[in-house]
Amino acid sequence: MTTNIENFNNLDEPDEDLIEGIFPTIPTKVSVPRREFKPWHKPRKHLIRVHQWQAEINNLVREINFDGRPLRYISLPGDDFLDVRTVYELCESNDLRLRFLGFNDTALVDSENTLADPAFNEMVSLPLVDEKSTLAPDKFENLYLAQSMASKYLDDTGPFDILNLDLCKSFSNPRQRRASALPPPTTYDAVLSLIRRQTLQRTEPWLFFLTTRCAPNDVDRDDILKFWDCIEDNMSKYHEFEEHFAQFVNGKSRDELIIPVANNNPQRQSFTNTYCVGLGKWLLQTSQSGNPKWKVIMLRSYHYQVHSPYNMLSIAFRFERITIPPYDTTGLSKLSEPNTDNHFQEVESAINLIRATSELQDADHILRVNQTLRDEMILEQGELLHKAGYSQDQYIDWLGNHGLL
Amino acid sequence: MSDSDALAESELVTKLMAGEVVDTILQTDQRVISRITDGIYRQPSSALRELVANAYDADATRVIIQTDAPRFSEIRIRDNGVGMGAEALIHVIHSIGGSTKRTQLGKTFGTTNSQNPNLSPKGRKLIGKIGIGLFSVAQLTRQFRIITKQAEESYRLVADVILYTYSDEYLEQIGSEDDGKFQAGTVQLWQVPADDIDGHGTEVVIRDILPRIREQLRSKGRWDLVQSSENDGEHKVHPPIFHVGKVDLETGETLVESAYFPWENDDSPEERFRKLVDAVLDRFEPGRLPRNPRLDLIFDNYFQTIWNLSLSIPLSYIDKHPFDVDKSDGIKILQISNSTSGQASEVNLQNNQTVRDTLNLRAPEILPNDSFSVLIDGIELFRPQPFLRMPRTTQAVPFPIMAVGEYREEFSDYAITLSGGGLEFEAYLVWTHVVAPIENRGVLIRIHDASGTLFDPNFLQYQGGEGTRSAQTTAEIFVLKGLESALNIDRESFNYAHPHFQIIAKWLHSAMRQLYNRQKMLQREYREERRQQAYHAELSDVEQKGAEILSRAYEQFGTSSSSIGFVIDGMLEDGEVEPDAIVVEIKTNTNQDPIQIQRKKFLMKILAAYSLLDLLSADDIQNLYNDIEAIFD
Repeated sequence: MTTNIENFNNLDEPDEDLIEGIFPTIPTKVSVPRREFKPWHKPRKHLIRVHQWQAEINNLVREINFDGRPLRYISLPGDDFLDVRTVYELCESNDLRLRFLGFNDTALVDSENTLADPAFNEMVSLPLVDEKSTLAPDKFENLYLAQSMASKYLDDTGPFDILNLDLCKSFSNPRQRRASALPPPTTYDAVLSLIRRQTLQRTEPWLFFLTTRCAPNDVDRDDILKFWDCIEDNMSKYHEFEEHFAQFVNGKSRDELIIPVANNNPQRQSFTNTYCVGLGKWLLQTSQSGNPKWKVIMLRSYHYQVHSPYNMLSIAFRFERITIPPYDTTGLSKLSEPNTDNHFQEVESAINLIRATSELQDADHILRVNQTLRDEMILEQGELLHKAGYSQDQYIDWLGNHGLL
Repeated sequence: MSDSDALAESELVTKLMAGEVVDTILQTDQRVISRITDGIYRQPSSALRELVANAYDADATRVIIQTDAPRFSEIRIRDNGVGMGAEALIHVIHSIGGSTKRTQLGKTFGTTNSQNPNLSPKGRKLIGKIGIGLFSVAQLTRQFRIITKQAEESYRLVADVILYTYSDEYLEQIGSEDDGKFQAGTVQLWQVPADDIDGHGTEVVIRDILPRIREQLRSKGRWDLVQSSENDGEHKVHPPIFHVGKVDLETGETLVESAYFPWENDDSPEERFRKLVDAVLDRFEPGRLPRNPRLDLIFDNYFQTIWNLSLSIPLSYIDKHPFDVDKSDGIKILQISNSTSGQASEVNLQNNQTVRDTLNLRAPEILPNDSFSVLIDGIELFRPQPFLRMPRTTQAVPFPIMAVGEYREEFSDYAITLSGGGLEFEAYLVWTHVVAPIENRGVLIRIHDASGTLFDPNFLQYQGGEGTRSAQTTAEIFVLKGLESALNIDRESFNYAHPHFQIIAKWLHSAMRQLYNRQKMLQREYREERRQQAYHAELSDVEQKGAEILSRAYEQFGTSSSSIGFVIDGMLEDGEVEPDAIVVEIKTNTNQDPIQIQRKKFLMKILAAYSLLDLLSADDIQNLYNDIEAIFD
């Protein structure tokens, strides 16, 4: 048998598999960004940091017996970690250690994190910051899957005393729908997933701060309709709630309340209020669906103007586990019934949502009418920004340029 | 080559060709050192080891490593060391391999001790030497970020480093004839204001990890094999028992295999490492052929990386330092003789005295009030050398034997260019029934308590045979002075020709001989003792049983039947025999087992007790005994 010499010339061309994963990606020089002042550097945001976040966390801290464990805090700290710095201040004054978990997916997107890296280094170098504090290079939304890397970070560091979801966009961002595609995970998925873990792993109360845009064009139409369903369901069940709500919205109908309206339309406030009660009701309903059950209490909350009034909400919720001691309804036992305060009535929590929403404070207005408070917030915000590496003088200039002095 | 070098070389050529004898010096080319930036290490753990060593040299007391396992999209290593000022940072970048450590520059930049540049600012003996440790990250990535801060400074320095791939071809293309300098990459530096004035330390952030390294960290090869063996159904490859999980390679966002840890989620960092070591020890399967635990079967690459890192860096031992062994640990202690023909002597520890106290040992020379610890992904690292808890046996010597020694020599009779300077080391060698895991078999050499070489199972080319015993030996040599110049620049191998290395090897081989001689002696003693114990136990068993049977026979037939006595080798046994007793003569020889004789005697006694001998003459009885003996023997 002769060897066909041509076969030797017929060898396969080397394919891409051979070099796959061999060459590194071409490193790119990062640009060192200038520090620019952003809307969340305005004094009203600081009012929320101090009067809502710090105040409510302080209340919680007084209640919980930490017994040497750190305060556990989860947030989206951005590049400056202003929220973490604020919580750290509080930990310092309470002699508490802080463990934070930040979600920041920028690193995965552009490999840069040019400002966040040194800021993170500064935060974890602080004496009261717990060693398990970390920055997950993941989207918060990825918490929706128990098997995600985001969830792994959560499991490694939680459960948490505080979730601070300080969104630039909306909690209920309008979504594109394609019939064939699996919808991408949403913040609802992530929050529910986190609530589930908290429900199973915690017995102590915890706080959820949410900052979200809430203009009609920032809210998915389906979402507001579902929120409405939550409200309507409660109205059909509880006459008391129905009365309170009707009174709160001056008897307006669903269509009047959630109709998409223009920026300058006075209906804007109704939409925001309905969104706020609906969102609270969704959280309440969700927390009631499992076991053990939790109640959701809306705490001091704010709205403020981004482009137009009522566009932004900073809401605080407190989650409290419901424990009802066993009691005897037959009368066989002489033990008296447990304190009636322990008898949780969902309707009471739902009515609280209406009351708290009716008490939403206008952060812009508060600072406009209270010069002393405004000066205090400007000073403190300037100091906080200075800690994050900004110039206080430039900050004052920036405020002046934006008519905020 | 610079102009001046070229001129010098041409002069040398001229002189040489003119028949002159020329003297010159050996010189090195900077390009050699530049290659370091291309990565000279083999394992990802090397990079971590070098960065931790840098932290140690910078007087850090704590190092935190976060790896983003099992995705490994970014790795952060941060310490609370002294950090670097602008001058030191720029020097590090501009002078790879020209570390400020061990030079006067170190004093200027505050990276070394103000009195002695071989020490860290607070006086630790430095691990790093020529300043290439930082570039060990070239093993992992082509791009990394350094963030560093010194105490009392109101800023952090940030350096973004991009490394080029070294290419001789590229150098030829650009015609780098050169001043010997090779641009290894680019660096962008900037300053960030800092509010934490007291804060200090350095962080290295590694992203864009090279695909091959990421696959290695993810144990991709192993998992692929597991997968393919499942598909073809033939030679089954088992997944690692404990692993960090598998991430979906497409998205990198979800796990396709959950981690399996040997600990619970709420275990403390210390408890986690302890359970990691326990997981290895628990895998020991005793039996005729005991299965010794093997790390590569138990763990994925991630856990092996952690294990190897823990062996390499200055850390506390998981149980105790071998020199802190005391009487309560139940270990036989020997002291090694420094004479190559000497023998080890036994050390009797007094109560509450450790080996360290008794023999005045110093390693690991920790400064007063100093500490150093490392946390990786929430796991507190310890040195995984659980020699006290390795499996023991009742068959051979049932306790470990630890031989301890020290060597200190200045070699003042020799020029430093020959001797390489003074050499001091302390060492222990533990012989134990089973070294677990297998990877801890061998000798590990630490210089200033750090090592890049792991356990060498060949014991620096030990030629003394003793394969079984050397496989039952785990040893560490703590070099306190010298040997550093014998360490190759990757710190993962030694220059065997260096005099310090050769002395250590000779010392070790002598120590092994001494240990094994003593172990053999103990083994013989132990075997003899056991044999004696077994014999006495059996004899007493036979006597007890015989007495019981006899007593039953007497109960049944009464004691009136004829009694029997024995004359053994002409001597009347037990001194006294009843006057009418039958006397049986027994002649013993060396081959006869005394237990057998005892059995035969009982047999005769029982026959007598049953009155079966009554009708026989004395001679017949003697013949009967002789016949019984013939059958038994």
